[in-house]
Amino acid sequence: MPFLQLANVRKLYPNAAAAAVENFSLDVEAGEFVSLLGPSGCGKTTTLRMIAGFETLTAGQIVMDGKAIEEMRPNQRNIGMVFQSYALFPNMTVADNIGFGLSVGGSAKAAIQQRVREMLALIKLEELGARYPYQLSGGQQQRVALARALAIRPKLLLLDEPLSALDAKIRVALRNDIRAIQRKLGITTLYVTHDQEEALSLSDRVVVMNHGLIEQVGNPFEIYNFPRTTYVAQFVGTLNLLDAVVVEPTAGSVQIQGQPAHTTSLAGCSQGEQIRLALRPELLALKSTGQADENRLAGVVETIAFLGAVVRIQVRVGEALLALDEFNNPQLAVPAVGSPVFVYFARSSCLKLL
Amino acid sequence: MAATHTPPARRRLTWLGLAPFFLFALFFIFLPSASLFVDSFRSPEGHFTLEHLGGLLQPPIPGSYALSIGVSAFTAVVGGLLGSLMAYALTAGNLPRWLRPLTLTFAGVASNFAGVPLAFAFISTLGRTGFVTALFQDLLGIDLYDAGFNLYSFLGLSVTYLYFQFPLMLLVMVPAIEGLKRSWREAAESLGATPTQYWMRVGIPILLPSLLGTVLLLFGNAFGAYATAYALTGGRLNLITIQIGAQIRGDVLRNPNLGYAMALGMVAIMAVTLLGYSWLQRLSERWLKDTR
Ligand SMILES: Nc1ncnc2c1ncn2[C@@H]1O[C@H](COP(=O)(O)OP(=O)(O)OP(=O)(O)O)[C@@H](O)[C@H]1O
Ligand SMILES: [Mg+2]
Repeated sequence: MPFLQLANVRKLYPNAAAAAVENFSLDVEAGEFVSLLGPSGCGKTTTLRMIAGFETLTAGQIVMDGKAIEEMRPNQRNIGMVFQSYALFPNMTVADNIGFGLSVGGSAKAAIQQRVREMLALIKLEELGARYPYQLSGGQQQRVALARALAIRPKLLLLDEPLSALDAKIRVALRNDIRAIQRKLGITTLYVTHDQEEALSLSDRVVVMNHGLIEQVGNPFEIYNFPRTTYVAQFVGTLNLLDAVVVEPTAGSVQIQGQPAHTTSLAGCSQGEQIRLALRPELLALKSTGQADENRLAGVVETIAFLGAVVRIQVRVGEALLALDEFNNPQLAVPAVGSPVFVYFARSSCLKLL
Repeated sequence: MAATHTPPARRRLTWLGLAPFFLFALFFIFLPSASLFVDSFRSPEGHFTLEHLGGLLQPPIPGSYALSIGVSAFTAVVGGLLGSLMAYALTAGNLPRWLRPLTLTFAGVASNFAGVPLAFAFISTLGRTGFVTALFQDLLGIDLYDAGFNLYSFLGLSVTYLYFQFPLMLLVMVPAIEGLKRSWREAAESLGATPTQYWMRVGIPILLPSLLGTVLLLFGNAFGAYATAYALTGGRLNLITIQIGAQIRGDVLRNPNLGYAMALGMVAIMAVTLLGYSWLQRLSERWLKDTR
């Protein structure tokens, strides 16, 4: 039995034309860290708010720890929530913020103080218990918000884009801290983000959402390497999309911009069918020769961009423009713009999308 | 962040633009205050004296201060409570949408309705022969005046003042309550707080500085009122403003310098009120600054 179960959850806001969340089913195991990933407006926040109890369900069930919770009030669910806007109580010190949940729950003063100390140590802000929120940086405020949510020993932790108000450096540091704390406490966590890097680097599993629907659920490796749809493939990382025509389905042979190529994923296709293939830039290489079973496309270098660790080269192949990444090193022989080149890639790195 | 450099010529223009304000402040605020201060310590012959200030301790002046403070404090607190409750009902309650703009427009008008027209409005409704007084008599069989009510008393004056006091509170508190972030409430709820606990520990404490600050504003509003009280009670209530009026332009009592001293006392009380107000305002701003 999974710890958290969402079954056919649907949310239709009053007067809305389309449902914000539709047919959403997801099982989350105890201790798992699951991200909801998707563009603005795809229903991530709505899903989280239904779990927290701030929105009612139009249809479906939510079961947590063996109990249906969709009828419970938010203050009875024992779910910790961290908001994008921190939402610290400005009239209370850091310590009082962290102790708030235990205090309204009627815990003894000494127990609260003890727990607040533990939490301050957990977020490494032992010195700042007496400060007010306005005396903290954004990153510190969000740590306190995390401590406040965890102080009540919630069964489930929900985070709604907790890092998006922070600048890039702090974002990376804090996300690693969040993950470390989550692992240490073993708390089941749902994390909402529109940042694919964040989702892939943090999560045990990623749920990619689109227009209120789940596009794909999988671990970061699966989501990145085996995206099932164009949508997922494009949303997660940079991707080359190539139109192709099926030549011989059983042999896996296709034509790309009039040049022959092979793929390993032509199951169910018929001859002459128009399909779409996805290729990750880092799986392409510029070489003069390759293995016999490698695909080879002839093209012309169009642009070259240095991105630090990698060099991104765009090659025009017929109508299509292929982006490919080479690891930067001083010995790298970068071709000149306008020179003819061969792009090589393995048959298996060429994915057919739904 | 780089400071924005305004060219000197532009800056001079800015000062020039503010000149009317500074002139106004000089002639109608600073000079009168200064002369009030000086005149309070000057005998009719032009010597320095503490006699007028000492005169403030002579009856009935302390009583007048007390009455003024009493009416102002009473109407500020009651108006503050009424206004806050109405603001809460208007923002948090499930009232129909059209009620909100209507109420706020009324409050905007009512909070500025004072002086002689207000006094006459109340005389014609709650006076001895007033319309509402008659309604009470006819419909409920209650004679308000027999029951102890009198429009020309402390309570009557307070009711009249409340007419502009609570709408002012409403006008300030509606945006303040709406400024409470939804995520504060939700954070409190998810931490297990009941709605009452949220209001007692988060909502009201956050609103408290602006709440108290506005009550102080209401206090000052009522404290300085003169025309309403004069038109309503015709001097039957010894408010400090009415006393000052009598000393400065009266025929019988006339002692302008004592009037100045009494006004100086008022200025002192108002100054304390304003200090309290700005302190509360700063506290509130500091809390709400940078906490998103
Ligand atoms: N209270 C509401 N009433 C009506 N519609 C709403 C409400 N809240 C959200 N929506 C709509 O529901 C859809 C999903 O919104 P939601 O906030 O869940 O998206 P999101 O994925 O969290 O987006 P973002 O990344 O911008 O936060 C959007 O189309 C939005 O306009
Ligand atoms: Mg959102």
